[in-house]
Amino acid sequence: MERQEAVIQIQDLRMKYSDRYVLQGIDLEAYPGQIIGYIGPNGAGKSTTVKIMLGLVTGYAGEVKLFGRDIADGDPGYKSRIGYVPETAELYDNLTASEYLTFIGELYGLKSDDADYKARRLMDMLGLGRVYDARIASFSKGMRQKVLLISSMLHDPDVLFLDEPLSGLDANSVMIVKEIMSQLALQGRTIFYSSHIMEVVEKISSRIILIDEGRIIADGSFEELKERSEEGTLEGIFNRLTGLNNHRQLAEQFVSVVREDS
Amino acid sequence: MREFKVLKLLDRFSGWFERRGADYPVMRRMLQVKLTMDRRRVPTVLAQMSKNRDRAAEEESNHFGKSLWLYGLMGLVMILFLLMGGSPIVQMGFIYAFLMFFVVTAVISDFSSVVLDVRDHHILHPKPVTRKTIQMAKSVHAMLYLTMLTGVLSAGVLGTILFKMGPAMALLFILETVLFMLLVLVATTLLYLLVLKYMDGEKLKDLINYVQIIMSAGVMLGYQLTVNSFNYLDFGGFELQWWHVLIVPLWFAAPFELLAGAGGGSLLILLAVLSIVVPLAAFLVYLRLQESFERYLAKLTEKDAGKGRKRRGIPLGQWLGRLLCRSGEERTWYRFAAEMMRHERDFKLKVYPALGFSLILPFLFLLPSLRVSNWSEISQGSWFYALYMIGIIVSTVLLMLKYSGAYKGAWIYKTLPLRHTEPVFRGSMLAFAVYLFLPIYLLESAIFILIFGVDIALHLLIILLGLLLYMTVCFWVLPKSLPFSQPFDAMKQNDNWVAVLLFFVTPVFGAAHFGASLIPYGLPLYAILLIMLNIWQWGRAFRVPWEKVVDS
Repeated sequence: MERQEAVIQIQDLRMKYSDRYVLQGIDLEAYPGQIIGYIGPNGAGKSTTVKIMLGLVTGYAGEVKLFGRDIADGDPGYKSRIGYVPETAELYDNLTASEYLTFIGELYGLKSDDADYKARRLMDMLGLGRVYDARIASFSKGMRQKVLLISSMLHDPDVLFLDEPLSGLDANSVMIVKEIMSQLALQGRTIFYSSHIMEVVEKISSRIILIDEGRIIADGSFEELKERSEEGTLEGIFNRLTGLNNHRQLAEQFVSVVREDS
Repeated sequence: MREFKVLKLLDRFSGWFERRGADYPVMRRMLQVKLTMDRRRVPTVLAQMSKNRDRAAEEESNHFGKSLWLYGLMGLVMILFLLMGGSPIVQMGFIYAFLMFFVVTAVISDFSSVVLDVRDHHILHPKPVTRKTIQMAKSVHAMLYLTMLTGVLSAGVLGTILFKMGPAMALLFILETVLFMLLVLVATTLLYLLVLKYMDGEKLKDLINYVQIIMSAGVMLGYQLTVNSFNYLDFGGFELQWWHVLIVPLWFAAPFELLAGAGGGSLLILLAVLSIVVPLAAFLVYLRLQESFERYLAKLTEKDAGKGRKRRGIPLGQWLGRLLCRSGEERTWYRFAAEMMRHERDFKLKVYPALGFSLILPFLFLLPSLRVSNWSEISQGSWFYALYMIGIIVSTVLLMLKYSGAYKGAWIYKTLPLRHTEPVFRGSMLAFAVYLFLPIYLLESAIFILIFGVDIALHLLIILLGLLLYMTVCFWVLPKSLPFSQPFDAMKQNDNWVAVLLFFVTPVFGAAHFGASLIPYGLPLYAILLIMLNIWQWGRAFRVPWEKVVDS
């Protein structure tokens, strides 16, 4: 395979919140066609990395380049090649799905009618055609998640940042979304994706990056990670690398407190 | 999505926005979305007035438009200031004081949700749009809102000025009001900036909640006080003092005095100059500070768990809880209800204004008599019966007890092994009596003793016992839903009628009280009777079989 140009290049990224370093030197390159599972314990700095790349968080040290351009130059143009599903699942939910998706499409530079037409068909395919003109406030968690996913892909981005993209989705939708991700990757899109569900990350990622306490502590395909570790599952590798070796004792203590006579 | 006329008007200034570095078409689209969302939001004032928020009917109705009408009506009150005579500076001073109260509170309560919308951070910033454009859209949105609000509020006054004082004065009014608006916008933004800088998200939300409570109470009181106040105020001789420089509404009133040609004075000119220079200077500062405002706003998105400190209950409340609750289970519900009443923001927003209002209500009954007699005469009379008026909180708050902003948590009632409902109901009723009713009663009693002397102590005790008994009557009449189990949206109009009807039961207690005072030894005997009735009622009134519990 010929060496393609990196879409994401991060060098020695550091970030400090008040007195605590959340990122302590992240180096990372990502190429077209990769599905990168970005995993780590809560508070390890996953979201912060993604937020910096999206320009949501400023005041970092180090260099962040997307599509070969430093994002610190103040031009937000690079964002039109990025799609984002935030973990917080924030939406303007007193708009209808149609209004919201059209609006987002337009912000990404689509024409209003084109965005509307595209959004309607995508909604239809995920089984939400019926509620396209209903307020998002009335949607269930899974439905909102689908709207978010659609809003991140309307403009056919080159890079997708997905934070817990499968949360709230039913088993069938999970299958569809996973398939969408791998097909997009086959067509040269980069998917940067974080989740706490190790089984999913293990199955769909072509590359796994494990981050802990603001540092990358493992980077490679699942097979590569497995070779370096005696554990057979990503969950096991994750637990070992993040230093959880006493989970059995912890659980025992927990249960004994539960069983205490009150 | 609909097309707004305001935006068409804005189109004419597109060049100006482009020159300031905003992407006009994108900014326009953001404004369109924001205006659409405004139409669907229910403002605080409106929520107070119309409690029948029927989900189905609300679909496309313009809440914002409706609330504007309401503000328009409130604005008409200010015309009275123009009709009452006095010099222009006094009249306009009152008008600007009024405008300031309404606009500032409205901005903080309704508009804070817009200015502090953290969804913008997550939704707009990841898109290929410049920060400048987002900020500009936000500022224009705030200005549009303020202009509409101030315009509607002052329309009646403007008409009256034009009619009574001529076009020159009307023009001056428009000019000064625009300056005034600028000052309000900048001042509130700076206030937020300050709060955001030193407080974290949760504290800020609490602060906004309190402002909303004060505003709701203020609107309720405003009606009562303006009706009453005109009789007592004397506007005859108004002499400008140096310390009037500190009273902002007078700045804006000063130019009217100058234009009326009633003579100058350097102080008056100073005030007039302040009304022009300060808003413009503040606006320049505002343009500078916008950048950092956005930065601080990001703080609201941070979740600061772990910073929570342990909240301690009020010792007296805990002591009374131990004393009055009959079982550990009941005490648990007592504590739970107390926590909910004191910390749940939606509940506070709906209930606390009524508490404040009930604090004032007895005195509103004293006021009219103050005109015909003096304080010493009143203190000899029987006006302390007005204390029964605080009974209004009993029916209204008990009606609200079943609502909560966190009603979804009510599934615990279903999954807990609750054999009887009595501990739930009795515990929460006791919590209401101790934490919401008792403070109001004690405060009022203290003031009443100051006015009427210690001699009325027995009367006050009888009123307390009567109102406690009245609580059980209210509980008996009102539908029995588990506390905090339903959304405020489910509130129904006819519920209010029940509350009003119930309120008319309090005079019965007053009448019995008065009757007893006519008989020798009547009062102590009546007090003993009430104590016995209370023990009996509070002992058995809350045994509600599960079948009788109304499920949403």
